[in-house]
Amino acid sequence: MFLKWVLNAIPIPDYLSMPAIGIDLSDRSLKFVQFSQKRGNLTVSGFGSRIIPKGFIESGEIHQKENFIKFLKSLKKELKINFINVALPEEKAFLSRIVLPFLKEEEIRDALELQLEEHIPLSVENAIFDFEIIGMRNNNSLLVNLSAMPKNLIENYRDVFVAAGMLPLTFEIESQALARAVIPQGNKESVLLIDFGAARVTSAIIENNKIHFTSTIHIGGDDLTLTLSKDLSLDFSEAEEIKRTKGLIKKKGNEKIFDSLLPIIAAVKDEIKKHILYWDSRMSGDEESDVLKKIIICGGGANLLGLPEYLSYELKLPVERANPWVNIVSFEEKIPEIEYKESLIYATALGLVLKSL
Amino acid sequence: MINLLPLENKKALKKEYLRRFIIVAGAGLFLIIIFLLLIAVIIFFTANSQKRLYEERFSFAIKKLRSPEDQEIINFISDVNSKISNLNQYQKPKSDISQLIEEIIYLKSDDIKINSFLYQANGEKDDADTITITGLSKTRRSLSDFSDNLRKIPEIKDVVSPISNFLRSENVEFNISIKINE
Repeated sequence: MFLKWVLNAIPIPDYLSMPAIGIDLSDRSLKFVQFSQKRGNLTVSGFGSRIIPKGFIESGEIHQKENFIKFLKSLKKELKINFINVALPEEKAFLSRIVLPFLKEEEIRDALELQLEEHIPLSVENAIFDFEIIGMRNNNSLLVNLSAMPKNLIENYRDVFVAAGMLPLTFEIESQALARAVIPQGNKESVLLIDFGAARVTSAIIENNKIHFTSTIHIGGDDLTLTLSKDLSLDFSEAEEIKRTKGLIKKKGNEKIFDSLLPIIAAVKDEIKKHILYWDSRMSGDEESDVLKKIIICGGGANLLGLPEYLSYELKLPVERANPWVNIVSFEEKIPEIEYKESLIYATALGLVLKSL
Repeated sequence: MINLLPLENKKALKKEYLRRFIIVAGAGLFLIIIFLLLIAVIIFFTANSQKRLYEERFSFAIKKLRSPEDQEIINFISDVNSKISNLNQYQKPKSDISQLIEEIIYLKSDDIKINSFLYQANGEKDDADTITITGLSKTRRSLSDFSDNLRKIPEIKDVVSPISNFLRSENVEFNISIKINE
């Protein structure tokens, strides 16, 4: 309390706190959120998204380095940013939960290096990995979450950001940032988090605010729009407007739309069901995990009308849209600067900024 | 917290943070020192001006407390003290000279007859006061003894007896000059 009062009275200068903006990257877009802190109150000082020209990034890998640097330089010039926290493409990440004997924290890295190839399909030389201790098992061993990505992929991202004049403070996988934004701090329940993006759907199982599992399928909101546009013979923007206003609600006059959207949504649902089954099978084993309590959806696709209700009915679990402000501001105290539906799109970027606060 | 930044970049960031921390802490310390110096200077000048103010008030109060009658009495006392001091200055050598003359008379023999004493006080600091004695001695020997006896008196610095005093062997008219110690 006293420390909070002191920090409000004498705030840490920006030169020392190195405030970073959150950058959520996908193949098609770059979303960013910038916060400022005045008298202890967090305020969104900037947010937005830029369409990344086709071919710059494909399947999470940078293909046109020089062009992407130019693209980032224009963004830096516009936003005047120095430090960034970046979410890297989920599909290139490897997650593993490893049991280790009791070791000092500085020894864990060495131990993981020795057995890295047993857990992920990358050699030590070609991987960049980090870990977090998530708990103890049977009081004599450690449970460690391991995250890894190909070294050349991370170094490529680092090099382009540095060349554009932005210094990355953090590289993390999307689900990690997303969970930080939408799962209330201190929540210990097991939750299935679904990020319904424009190009892909990522699902992650979170327990005790730690990621246990992630999976990405290359179906997204744009596929729904394309299907609608084909089935109803509309152009893309008209189909997008119909998708936004009518949604996945089966009622008179909406049958065609519902029938057009359903196969894709059902495919997503089936994928999610597999994850639930996987988690349940772990429950029957020796893993000391909790049953999934609910599903939280976010991303632009989460705004689809009727989607939570449909998923809830099919998966027999409560489904709710995420509140990306849950760890930032109380709606009773302040109305956030980003409108709720839009904030679902920026949830990952919000989680990235939260890391620096 | 998992951070997939390459290790060399993590280390560079730590160094950069430390560098910034040292700069900020140094600047903070410098500002605190400047602030304290400023406070010290302000306190010094305030205390100094207050001291002068109190001194002025004090001297004013003393002046105010003294009535014109008091001032007259103080002036009168000061005048009297100065006069007493002057008198003491003149009186003391005179009493000493009288004693010395008495001693000189006591020392002379019956053969010596003193006709006159002349005491001369010299204003100059370095010059000694002198007593000039003139008289008649029955014999040269008596005069010589008298001169020797005078030299034995501790208050006498020098005895000057000119050679003319010893030209006659009897009924010698003499003239002796005595220099007195300060």
